[in-house]
Amino acid sequence: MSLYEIRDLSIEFPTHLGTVHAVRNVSFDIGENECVALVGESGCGKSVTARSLIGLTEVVGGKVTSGTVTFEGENILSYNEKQWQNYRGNKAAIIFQDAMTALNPTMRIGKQIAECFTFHQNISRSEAEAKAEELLEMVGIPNPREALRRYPHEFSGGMRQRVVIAQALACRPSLLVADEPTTALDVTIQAQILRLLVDLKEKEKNSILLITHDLGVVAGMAQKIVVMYAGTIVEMGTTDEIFYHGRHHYTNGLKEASPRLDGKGKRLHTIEGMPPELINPPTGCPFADRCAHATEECREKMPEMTQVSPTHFVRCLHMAEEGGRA
Amino acid sequence: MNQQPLFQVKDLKKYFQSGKVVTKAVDGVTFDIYPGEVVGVVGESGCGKTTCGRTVIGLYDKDGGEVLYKGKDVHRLRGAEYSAYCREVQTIFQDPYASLDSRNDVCTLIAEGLDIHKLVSSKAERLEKVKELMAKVGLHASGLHRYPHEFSGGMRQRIGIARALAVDPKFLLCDEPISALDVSIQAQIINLLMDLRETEGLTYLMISHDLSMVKHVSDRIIVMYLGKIVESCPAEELYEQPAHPYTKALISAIPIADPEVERSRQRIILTGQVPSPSNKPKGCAFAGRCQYVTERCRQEEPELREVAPGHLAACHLYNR
Repeated sequence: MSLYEIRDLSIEFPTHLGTVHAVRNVSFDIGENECVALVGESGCGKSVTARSLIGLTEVVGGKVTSGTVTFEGENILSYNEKQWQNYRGNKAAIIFQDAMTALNPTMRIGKQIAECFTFHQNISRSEAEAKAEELLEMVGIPNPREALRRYPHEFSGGMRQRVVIAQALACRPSLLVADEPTTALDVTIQAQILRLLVDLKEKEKNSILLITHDLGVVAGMAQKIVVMYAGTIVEMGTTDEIFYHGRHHYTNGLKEASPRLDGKGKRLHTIEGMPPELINPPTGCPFADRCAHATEECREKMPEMTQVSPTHFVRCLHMAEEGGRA
Repeated sequence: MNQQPLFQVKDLKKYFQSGKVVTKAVDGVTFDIYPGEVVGVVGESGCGKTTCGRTVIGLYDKDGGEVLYKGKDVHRLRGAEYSAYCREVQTIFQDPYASLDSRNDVCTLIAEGLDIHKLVSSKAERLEKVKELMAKVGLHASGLHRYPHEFSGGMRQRIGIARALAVDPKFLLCDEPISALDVSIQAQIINLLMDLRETEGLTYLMISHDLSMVKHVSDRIIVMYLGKIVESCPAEELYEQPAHPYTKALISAIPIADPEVERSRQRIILTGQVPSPSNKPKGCAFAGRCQYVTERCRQEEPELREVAPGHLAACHLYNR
């Protein structure tokens, strides 16, 4: 039984240039205590998809035009504002890329974390502060008691991200949406934060929806990978299936395009061209224009999702051969 | 290499002062760049890598030491010599959105260097040269009279590269040339830069926080920490046999896009924070985060010395 079932989700953004079809018929599941990674390049709709799970689509000007997101037997997309308020932070929480803008610069850290408790749980302020202190200790902030009294600007980027994680985990949500949680951080700090997320996932038994463009981060953390391109899912499967048996040409191109630290210096594989505009998305496969294997058929009709193993789905008419590593 | 180095950087220092606080962004850096070489500079944010690059080419005034370009002091060039130097040394910046003047079309942007250095004698020649440059960096000639906002990030970075190439430079300072771009576009730009190295005979100083990218393109890598060089060696060797504990931690922190490798890896997770460059600790700057730290490290600052042929490291572990 999955924690979340996302079915046929489509999200549009009306703009003065026309409607942007940011997410088109996206379906996937998030299991309990599972880390699912949404991978893709900027503008592929990964953040928009993730934000719909915590009811932030309308806030950024988007509109859900079809689909359902089932959580605990309910379609959360039909929630009213009151239900969303009860759900956000309590059942699901998000950590953003930029911890500085996610925190209120004029409010002490302790109060910002305690806010989650006083809002969702009926406890006193002093109790809430005590719990906030525990949380700060859990995410590895030195001198948590003293830290409660400090302001966000007094912390470094990595420490701020820890504060945001503490805030997100305050009410022990079932789902943690991590939208590029380490992109703004240095590699050594990134390693600390990723380790923290993995450790906390073991301890708190929450699920993680990880949004990233960095395949390296995904390899070490995710159990399942969903690859998005131009608003649609092009391939999804377990981490090993995607890395070692990738069948979509975009997935494989993406893997070969990034230089590997343990690789020898050879010419990088490139994906020529650019992703299509999403105001008038192509009717066929969105990747057809950049794909070496594309035929007329690809351009005419959007390929169906094909199941190649119980957990592995590919949206391609001319899949790469099974076998071997890309 | 028996050639004369293109750049000789000797004990270069650059301090920034704000009130009474002095930030030692670059604090005694020495290295050479030989013609045709790609030298990579890596380090975390705030380690002084960008400041180092900019001070080396003379964009910033120095506060100590010297930089020689073909034997001449970069910071003292004047008149015709300075003008010739500006032609030979060009920069590609990180942000392709901020580094192009949005009010000029592509033709004007690319031809700016040609106009300044009076490299073309007629309008027809100017247009011809701009078109040639556009073709060289993979831009279609139809974009000639379009404006930067009409291009994507990768295309803008190509405009930036065409601008730099317009004056036939010998040396390019690339400051995080790809970090603002998407993965599939990054590969395009990296391949372009490497092709240009062959066809134009360019020398690069490549500054980036992305060690996998730097390793892919560089011949030699310099690792900086808090304004100082902690290690410098051939690119392959840095990955295979890193000497400095900081370099080891840096390499182990980089995620590798391979689940099996990731599962079996032993990570060195650094604890603690980077000390502030305006209030550096006594002794080795890395001592507070180092797992091999000894009393000596906290007292005495290690010098950069050879630990293997062509491999320099600043660590007391190699100098007992």
